[in-house]
Amino acid sequence: MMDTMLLIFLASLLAGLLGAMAGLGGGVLIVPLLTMAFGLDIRYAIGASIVSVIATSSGAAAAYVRDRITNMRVGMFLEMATTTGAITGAFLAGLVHPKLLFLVFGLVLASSVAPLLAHAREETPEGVQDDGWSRRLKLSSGYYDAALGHQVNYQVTGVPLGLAMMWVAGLVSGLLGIGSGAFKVVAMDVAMRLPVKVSTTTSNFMIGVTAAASAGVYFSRGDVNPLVAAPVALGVLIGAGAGTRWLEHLHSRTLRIVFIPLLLAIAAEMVLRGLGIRP
Amino acid sequence: MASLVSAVLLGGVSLSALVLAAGLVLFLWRGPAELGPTSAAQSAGLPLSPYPTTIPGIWAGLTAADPLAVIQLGVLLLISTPVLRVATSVLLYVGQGDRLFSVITLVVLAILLFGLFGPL
Repeated sequence: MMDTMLLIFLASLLAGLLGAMAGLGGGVLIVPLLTMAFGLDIRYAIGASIVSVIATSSGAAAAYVRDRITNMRVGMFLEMATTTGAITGAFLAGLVHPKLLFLVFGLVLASSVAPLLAHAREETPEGVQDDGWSRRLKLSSGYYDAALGHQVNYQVTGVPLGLAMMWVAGLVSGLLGIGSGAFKVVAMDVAMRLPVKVSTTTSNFMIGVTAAASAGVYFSRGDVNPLVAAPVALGVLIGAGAGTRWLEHLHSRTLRIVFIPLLLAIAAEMVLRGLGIRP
Repeated sequence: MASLVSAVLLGGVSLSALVLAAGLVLFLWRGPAELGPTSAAQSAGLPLSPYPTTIPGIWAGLTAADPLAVIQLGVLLLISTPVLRVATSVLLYVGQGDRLFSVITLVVLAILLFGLFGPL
């Protein structure tokens, strides 16, 4: 048993490292790892994963908030939607057949490859006007962009659509035990037209709170097994910390070439299990 | 505001990581034999020993120096870190006299507490 725990710790460390280097967050590989390599019940895997998501995102958010790029007003407003979605997702996860969880997880994992393939987006969208919600909530803001070498001021639009998309992002996070950062970034990019740096850091800011909402449900339901959650959380925390640091020194293109086929293979395996083709 | 929120997040994660590590060390040191009766349910070779999932349960386990209760305390501290971050922002917005955002952050806090203590 202690051997298993040590293996879980080392595997989580590797998953956190790879996840952070690919810019996917530490959690996305944990559920496939625990279910397929260690044969753990998917509900315990999700319970351990969601706890590790809180650890990594809170550490990263602390740094981004200090850099003052995160739009905390946007984040806290949208958290009303992500937390409601997360609790709904955690509730549903307790009801549905585990096979359905495998199937949905595989499909979400496969779709998370899309942003990795996409070309660089508009750094700072032009001609965005505050909508009524944004004016009322005073969401427009600005930050100093070190890469561009000047201050970037921006306005915010599409708030109702952003809110609806955030509920879905929260639902996916609570159902599958992942941060669903990609969904959050898409909502802020496409619907609300925030600058890329603001949407990525604000997404990270919200992930911890979103995950805490569903983690509470998993914890009180008894789906967070301490002997799994502790090695996973510590492993991912250490791995993701190292991965973020190495990220700056590695060419992300070569990394993606390795990472995308791996993700697709894992996604396919999970879909096959969901369909009952694999045991 | 940013620096206080940042400090809460960093402090919470560091503290819970320490408690989790302490619980694991305690577990490895005392060994699984002293854990008491193991339930019949087995998963991946890990015994699903009874572990506390409520605050009174964790407290009772801590007074008995149960390693699993220490780990659960670490998990609970980790889950509480974002909750504490939201509570901090409620106070900061109230202090700034920003009524709209005081209400918004209070709603988020209520949802989080419902997740942790609600009937789901």
